[in-house]
Amino acid sequence: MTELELKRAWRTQPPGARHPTLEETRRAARRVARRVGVRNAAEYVAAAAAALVLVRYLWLFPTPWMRAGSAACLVAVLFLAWQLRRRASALPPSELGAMPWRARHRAQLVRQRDALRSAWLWYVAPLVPGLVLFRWGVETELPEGGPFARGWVINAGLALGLVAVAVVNRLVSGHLGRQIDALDADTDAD
Amino acid sequence: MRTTTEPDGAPDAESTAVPTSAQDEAYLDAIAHHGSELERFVSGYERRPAERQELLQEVHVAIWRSLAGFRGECSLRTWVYRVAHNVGATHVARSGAGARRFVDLDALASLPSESTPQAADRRLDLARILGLIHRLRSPDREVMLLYLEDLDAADIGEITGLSARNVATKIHRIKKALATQLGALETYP
Repeated sequence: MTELELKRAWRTQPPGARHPTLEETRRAARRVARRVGVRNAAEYVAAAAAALVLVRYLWLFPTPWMRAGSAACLVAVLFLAWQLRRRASALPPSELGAMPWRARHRAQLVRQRDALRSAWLWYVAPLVPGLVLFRWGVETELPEGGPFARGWVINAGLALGLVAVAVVNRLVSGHLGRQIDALDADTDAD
Repeated sequence: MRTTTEPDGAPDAESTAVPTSAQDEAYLDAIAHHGSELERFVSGYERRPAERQELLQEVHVAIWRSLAGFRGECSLRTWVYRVAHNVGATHVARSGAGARRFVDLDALASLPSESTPQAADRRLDLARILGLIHRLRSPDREVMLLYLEDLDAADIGEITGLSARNVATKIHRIKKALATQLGALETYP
């Protein structure tokens, strides 16, 4: 078999699949758009629920420090919701044809790596002021003569949790960085 | 002209009426001219018939949605092929198949030959070629599919984002792999 015969055989295969009509394609596109809409709405509902709880705390908590902490956490949650949308949302479908797969795949990896690498700044740091204010309010309200370690275990647990989030994000960003390097090396190798 | 889509490409509630938008017209044009290629590309990304049909529909939807952003920066063919390969490569990555399962063109040529006495049978050859394509990782898979469509290195480079030199090297390896795997592929100088 010659090269030309092979290509001809490939291109003259009998059609096996049924192509959807325009209407079917539109209906399927609407289903995709609905799924994306539901997913986005779920993220907003979760952020709104957290914000509602924090707003309620503004009236519920007894000390100004604790209320200030709730207010700062409320601002942080709204900021996080905005940052997640800005940094973690997928590229729009209208860009599918504008870029080859490798460039698109690399752009998405770079975006994810950068978001995770700076997570300590935009994900962890905004929560710190509110948590510090809140814990300060709790500490100053504790009765005199309590055990020495009283709220320290909780404070240490919160601090460790925040550090762990920053470290894990950093590690995953390093893994993505190595994937990008491998992709670049593969391109250069040719 | 009344548009039937929202700015982000998602259809509005009344978009099931008569096709009138530029997006619909571009879509119908794309499918009329490149529908058969799409089917062959999809067969290169999914071997199971039912899943292949679903993937083909996914490609159609992606093309229709993407055409909301088509401004003629490249030819319609390049745009459609890129969308198809983007969806196909994402499908392969999403299917959970480990990257280690796939090989590059060098490794493909060194795999044990599956050549049989029935090598002259065209259907067997096509089945074997599909088997080889399914072993390839991206972008070698795209290059092989486009090579079989008889595109030249410049066109393949525009679609895949690889340089023409890279594409020429890969085509050389494809020919070598096909010659090894199919037994006797006569190539032209």
